Amino acid sequence: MIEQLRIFSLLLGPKTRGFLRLARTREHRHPLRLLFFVGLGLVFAMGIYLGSAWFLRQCLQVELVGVLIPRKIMSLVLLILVSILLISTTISSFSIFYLSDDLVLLFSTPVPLGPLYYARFLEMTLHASWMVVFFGLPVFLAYGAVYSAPADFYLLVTLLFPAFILIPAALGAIIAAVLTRLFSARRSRDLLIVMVLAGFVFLYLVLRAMQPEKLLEEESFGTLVEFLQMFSAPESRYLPTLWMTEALYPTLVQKPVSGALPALGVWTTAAALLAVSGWVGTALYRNAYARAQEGRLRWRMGAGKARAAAGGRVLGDWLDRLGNLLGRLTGSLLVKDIRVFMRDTSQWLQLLLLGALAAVYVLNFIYLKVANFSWFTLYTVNHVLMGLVISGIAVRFVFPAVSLEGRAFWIVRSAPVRIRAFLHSKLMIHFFPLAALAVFLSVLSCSVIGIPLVFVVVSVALMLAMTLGVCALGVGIGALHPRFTAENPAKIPTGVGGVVFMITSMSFVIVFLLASFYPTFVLYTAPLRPDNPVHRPFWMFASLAILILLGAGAAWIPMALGRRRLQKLED
Amino acid sequence: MIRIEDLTKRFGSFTAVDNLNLHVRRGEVFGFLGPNGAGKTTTMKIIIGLMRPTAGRVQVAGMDVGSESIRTRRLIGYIPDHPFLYEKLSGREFLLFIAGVYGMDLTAARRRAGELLRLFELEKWTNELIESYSHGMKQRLIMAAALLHRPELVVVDEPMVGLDPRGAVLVKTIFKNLCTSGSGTVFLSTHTLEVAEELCDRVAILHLGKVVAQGSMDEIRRQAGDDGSGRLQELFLRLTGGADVTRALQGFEV
Repeated sequence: MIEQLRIFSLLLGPKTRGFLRLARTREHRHPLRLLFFVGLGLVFAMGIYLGSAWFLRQCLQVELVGVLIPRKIMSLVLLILVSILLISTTISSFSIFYLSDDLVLLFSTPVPLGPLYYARFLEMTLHASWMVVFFGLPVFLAYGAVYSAPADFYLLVTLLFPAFILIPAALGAIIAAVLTRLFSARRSRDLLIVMVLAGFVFLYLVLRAMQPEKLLEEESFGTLVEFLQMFSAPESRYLPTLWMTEALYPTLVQKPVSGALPALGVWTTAAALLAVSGWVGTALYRNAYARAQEGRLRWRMGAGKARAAAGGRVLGDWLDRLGNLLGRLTGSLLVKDIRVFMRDTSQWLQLLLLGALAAVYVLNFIYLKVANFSWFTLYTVNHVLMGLVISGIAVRFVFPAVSLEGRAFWIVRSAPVRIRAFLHSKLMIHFFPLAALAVFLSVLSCSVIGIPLVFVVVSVALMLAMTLGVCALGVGIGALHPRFTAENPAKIPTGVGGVVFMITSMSFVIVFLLASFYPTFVLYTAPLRPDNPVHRPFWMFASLAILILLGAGAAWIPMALGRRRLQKLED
Repeated sequence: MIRIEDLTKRFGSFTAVDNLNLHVRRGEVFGFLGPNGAGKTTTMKIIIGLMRPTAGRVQVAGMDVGSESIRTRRLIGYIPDHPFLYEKLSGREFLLFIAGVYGMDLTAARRRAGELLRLFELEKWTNELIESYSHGMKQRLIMAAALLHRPELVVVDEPMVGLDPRGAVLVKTIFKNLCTSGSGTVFLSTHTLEVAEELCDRVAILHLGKVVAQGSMDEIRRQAGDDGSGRLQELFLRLTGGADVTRALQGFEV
């Protein structure tokens, strides 16, 4: 047993030391960056805490049903947290148990499976749950603050949360082990991501259609009861989330004894599942890992054959011809980017989210229209929202454009290609699809709101100019902060560059729209003042000058800075 | 074909290349030898334009690689030691992408890509994604890509890494033919001294960023004070501090 524990701690050593060294290096090299991210995280956590506290106070003020709501909400929050944990631990299990590169070395050594499995389990649990804990705990702290809870409550939260996390983590590891043994780790993980995303999109659309913001209006509390009844399913006696609620809630309202049994239930379930996970995991680990290795190669090779058989070659030739039409460099980059994007599940799956986003966006305007706002107000708000949506999409798709070249960027750098031409190609490749989306959103939302044709034309023109600016900012700042060694494309926008882009891009959108407001307002009031529509010529001149300067600046400055950065790059 | 004058490259206080002077003639296979960390890859990256020198200059075909980088790159085919490629493309798609960035005509590129895939025995894998290729197959694909636009100069960093004996013979023959046909020049770095002995018309031995010997094999032997019977490996070790290896091995049990 002691030997097993020694090996367990030995296996954790490289990861722990690597993490600490990375943290120390980052702190040493970029203290401000670290401070900024810690600060940003704390601001978000504080926001969740304050928002939760406000919501709970609002609930408690409601007569009759008010005191019932926080308990239901706690149960619901726990259910959401456990669902997120189950998904994230299952997905992380595929990567950490079966697809990590260091496993080749570890499986070739005489390390016993038990310590190896539990070392991986601990790594996976920490990796998959820290964010949920960081952003979930403020909700419980808010409960404590609103109810002026005794110290017992905080102690119980601290004691129960590890067990609460272990339950989905153990289940996730078991699911991953069984699926990897039956299929392949990569295929199972991709399939799971598709299902989770589709489920998320569906749930989001359903929740949006339910208009939960109306639930805080007193006259709609009949709907709230119905709303809460809809979630009565989680109240099953066998769900650990209910035991957590039953353990925590009585302590909040100063009845600690009644919470003891459910608390024991949470811990014993966690311990039992941990043991079962260890038993199933170690029994399947070696074979499942071997299967994951075989599956990796078989799946890749099979994909090539299947593509060729299904006429992929014809489609590929058609794509090559399209690329040839666009000019050799732009065309080649476009064709390459499309192929790489469509063959990376983690990339193309985001198109699902994009579709859902567009649907939710238009749905929102249907609800806002019902709320009797004037069309000009909706028209103005629409542009701000569309600008922010385009910025949000750009941070995920345009900002990583340069970084996605990855370690293969040496190919472009050693080819007779000017960095300026490379960046312009990247800009064009990303501008056209995003511009199409912007025009689609603009025309559709304008028709939903019922806006005169001339304003639709102005809207489309504004959106095109704004999208060009946002795309240039994305490509330029992306080149200024490249992350060629990022293993996961989703991680590229999470660095300082991504934050700089988001802040710059949102500021650009807001200033651009503020500058466009006066000319649009003149157009709106022109029929009312046919003799002198422009009654403040300076404002008109200043607005148009800002629009032109801002548009040109956004399109030129970041691209020039990014170009200089890439030209100075040394590998 | 390549003229390197007083080339120095520093990374902070570390000098990777120290006042290097070298001349590679058109039509020859030139070997660049040296122990790990001698500055070979850094020099090659400066020739390609992936790095800029701290001091000195490099010319390819009479053109400065700093000020005329696009023109010089058109003449060069570069084969790095680590085959980082676009893993989600197939071999054929990758070659067509390279043809695009070199501005080749699509029809001609398809024909040439087919020939090269056949030559490097990758025909069966043409439509497989690169991520399923072995290290050696990726190395062959990079070589095919480097030869796609018919370069005048091929710069190769460790050409034999990951290649099986059949692949190694193929590559050596291609490099030889490229130079004997008069259409190309090969500048290669290698640790495999047999390759250098067999393939290179002239070599330069680099140690701690400086050239310690250069010329044909006979010239190198003379510079090392050898009577003509010594193998390149012994000369190499003598010139690059091989006595340290013997000292390190004394008293060590495997």
